[in-house]
Amino acid sequence: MVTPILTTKLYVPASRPSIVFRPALIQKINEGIAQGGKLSLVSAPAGYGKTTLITEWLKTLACEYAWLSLDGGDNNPQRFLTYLIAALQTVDNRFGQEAGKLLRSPQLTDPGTIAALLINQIVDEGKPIVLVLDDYHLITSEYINRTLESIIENSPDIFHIVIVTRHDPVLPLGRWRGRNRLIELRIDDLRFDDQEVEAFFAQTMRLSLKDSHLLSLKNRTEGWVAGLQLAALSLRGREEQGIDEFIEKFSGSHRYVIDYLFEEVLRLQQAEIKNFLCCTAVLGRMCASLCDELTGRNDSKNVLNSLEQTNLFLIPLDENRQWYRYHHLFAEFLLTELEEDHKRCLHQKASLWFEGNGYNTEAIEHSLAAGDVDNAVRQIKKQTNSSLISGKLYTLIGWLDSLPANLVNNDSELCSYKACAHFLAAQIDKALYYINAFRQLKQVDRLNDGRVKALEAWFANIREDKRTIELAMEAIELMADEELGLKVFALVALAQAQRNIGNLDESSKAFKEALKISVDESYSLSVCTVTMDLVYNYYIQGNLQEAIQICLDTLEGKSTGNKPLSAAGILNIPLSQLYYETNRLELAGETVDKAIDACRRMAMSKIFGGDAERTLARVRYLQGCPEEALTVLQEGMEAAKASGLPMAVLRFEAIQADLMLKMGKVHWVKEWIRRIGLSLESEITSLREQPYLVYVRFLLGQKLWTETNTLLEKLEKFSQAQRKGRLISILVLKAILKDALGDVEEGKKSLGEAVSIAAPQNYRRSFLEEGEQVYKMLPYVKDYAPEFVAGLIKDFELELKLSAEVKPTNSELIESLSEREIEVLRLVDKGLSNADISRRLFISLGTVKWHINHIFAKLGVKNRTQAINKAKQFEII
Amino acid sequence: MNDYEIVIQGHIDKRRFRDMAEIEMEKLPNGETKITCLHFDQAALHAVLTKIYNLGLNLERLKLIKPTNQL
Repeated sequence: MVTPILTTKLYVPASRPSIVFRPALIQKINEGIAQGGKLSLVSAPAGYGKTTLITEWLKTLACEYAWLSLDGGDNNPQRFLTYLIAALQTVDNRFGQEAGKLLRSPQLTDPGTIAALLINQIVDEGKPIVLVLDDYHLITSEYINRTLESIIENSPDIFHIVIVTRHDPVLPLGRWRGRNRLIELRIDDLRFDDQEVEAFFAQTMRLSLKDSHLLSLKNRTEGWVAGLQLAALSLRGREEQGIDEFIEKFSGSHRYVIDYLFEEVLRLQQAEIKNFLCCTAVLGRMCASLCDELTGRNDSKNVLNSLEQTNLFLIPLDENRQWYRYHHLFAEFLLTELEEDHKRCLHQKASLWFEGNGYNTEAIEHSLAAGDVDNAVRQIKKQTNSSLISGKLYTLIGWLDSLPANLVNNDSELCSYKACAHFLAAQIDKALYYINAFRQLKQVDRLNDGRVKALEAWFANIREDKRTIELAMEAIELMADEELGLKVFALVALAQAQRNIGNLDESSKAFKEALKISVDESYSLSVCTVTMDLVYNYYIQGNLQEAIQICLDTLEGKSTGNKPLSAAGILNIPLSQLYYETNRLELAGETVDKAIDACRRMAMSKIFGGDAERTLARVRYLQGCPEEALTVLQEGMEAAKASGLPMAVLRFEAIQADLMLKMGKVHWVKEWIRRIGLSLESEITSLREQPYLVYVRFLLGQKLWTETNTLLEKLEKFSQAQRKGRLISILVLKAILKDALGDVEEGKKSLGEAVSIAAPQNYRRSFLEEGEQVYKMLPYVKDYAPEFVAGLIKDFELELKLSAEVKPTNSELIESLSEREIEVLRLVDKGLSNADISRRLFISLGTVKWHINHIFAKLGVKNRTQAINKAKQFEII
Repeated sequence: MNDYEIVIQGHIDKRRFRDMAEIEMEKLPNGETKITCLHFDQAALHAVLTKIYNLGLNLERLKLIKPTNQL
């Protein structure tokens, strides 16, 4: 479902012939841009010719430009961004295609992600673009302001934004002013000076006036263009004596300029034209047929034409002169001529016309303006399904908020929509409120019930509530083939809950169904996140190689027409973990960097709660940097806490505890086990498996054999059937236990079983993590898979002898430096600090230090100078 | 709830504020217009200010008057 776009919002307003050219102001903008200005702010009250000036300026540009006229409805991030993308696509239709898909995903997408994607694309294209945002004063959303701030802060020099507004936007103008980033045109810049007043009357309005009259008019209006235009309309057709009289009276009047002149202009119109103007003033935009409907005429086309020709503040919105609007200031005054009842009646008529012509959004807005709740509800219900999955979530919330609260709370359909809309907008408290309100209602129909159940299943899953599976299955059945966006949520909740209790086959089945819907419906972010979940399932099930292949295929875009999805980079998160399992530590480290970079580029670090950092910590630990590993974990833990999911925090703690145990901090681990409440009696779940494995290692270390045995039996039972991949670690630990108890045969049998599962898929860390005891036992299980076991023994020897330095030969040396390390070395050679390199390569400071330590170790040097010298000597750089 | 007095430049026709029934308008001899808003909260006050700005009027002064019942 594509959001209907009002294309008239994207047209640069047609300019009039014989307009007053204002070279000094145009020069001011151009000079500002030449000096590094990124934002032009044209801020002044209505009627100062802001839009006209920018329209004229655009005509002088050599580069391409995009235009977006904002309205009150754009005051929500999704709709704003939808239009922003549509505007940029008028320049190049490739712009924002991916971002647009993200907007249509039923996911809690951060607007910052979309903004980041857009900027990246503009940088990649390298084509200079000017974007004009007209009437920005209608934007009050803090979120949009922040999104725009980030766009302006991060935009390249080739991208220039113009904001046209009646009052200053809530953006860090002071900061940008100080850095010469801001070009400003304000009320005093925009007032017409003597020459401009003269040119305006002579050229634009074709009136020849005496100098003294021009001066009087300029002084009385203070150079306000709207005032001058109204004055000209009042003067038109007068004899010289009439002009003298008018100007004398106008100059001497206490009435406010516009108030006086507006009345004068309206007085001069025929009664039927006056009526036409007032009736149509309720319209945000108008066409002839709509005007006919509101005024009861059949010649509105001619009226509109003549209004435009007489400069009566009618602005054409498209080249074909199909749609028009009044100048805001003029419309504001016209509206004051209408009685409230009449206004309501006009809004009602407009609503029905818009509805009949397929413009549902405007139909609803006019119904709401008319206070016609019944029609508004009917129209909202008709429109809602598409609003939920298109970029109109906040618009929908706005409409529903405009309805009386008790009406919404007692209407199961509206209540379910409100719950869904708040849920998708990540307004969790409000979503829960409306789920509760919905459950208070007696009569609910199938589809509404299904929608709300999907949300209930999602929340139950987060709480690890046992009812998740039942709720999700009911929701899926109730929604049948409707509400596909919400169905994806229900399927994911179902799949995760099934995985948690060890039903991997059922889990993968549900993930696959969610993936199919996501692919078919182009929910591109869901495609990536569900694939990620499915990959974890394969890893758990023992299909490590297939898991790796799926990650690589998605990253290359194989399943999506050889074009990777913009969010595909997040597949580096599981991929780094999978590489780690195969003991390709360097590759794992590089993949983690890519994963972290992808999360940052997509502004998704919060959503994925530091999943990548956990792998990074493990890699660091093995590379001999335990302190750094713990720091990485600590940082990741903060991100996990911010995600608000308790399980995300526990995953970090499990790895932290594991490393602490390896570092011999037994008391710390003991205290942690007590704190998180691990016990021999508790039920094992997938989410708690890692903490329990740490518990087993702790018990083994304490020589608590019986307890170890009890726990291992439970873990083995949990993983026996469908969790072959995870069974490996359990069998290895069992082998250690049996060996320690002197039961050598049982030990060998367990380890052999582990080898049999691991060898074809190349699971290696599951052995290496358990240390020297496994190394000693490995020669006895060689027969199970000779080549694999030999390789493992080699791995062990390398890992156990890590401290013993091996001096490489020259050729080995060159080969052993990774591409990334050479890249870092080149930057070191250029004199860049670690912090500079971190920024340049989009990797963390810790990663830079890690690379440099490795470079030093591989080159056998102690400092940067030695490293550069040696690298040059061997022609590495 | 408070009472406010708003003064704008020039004389303005009462009709311009017809959708704001709760305000009182008075033309001052010096050519200004005084708008009195009785028992307005912040939201209602901002609506009047927005209206003034949208009509292109110039705000001269804004004053808080203590409500008589609190004296």
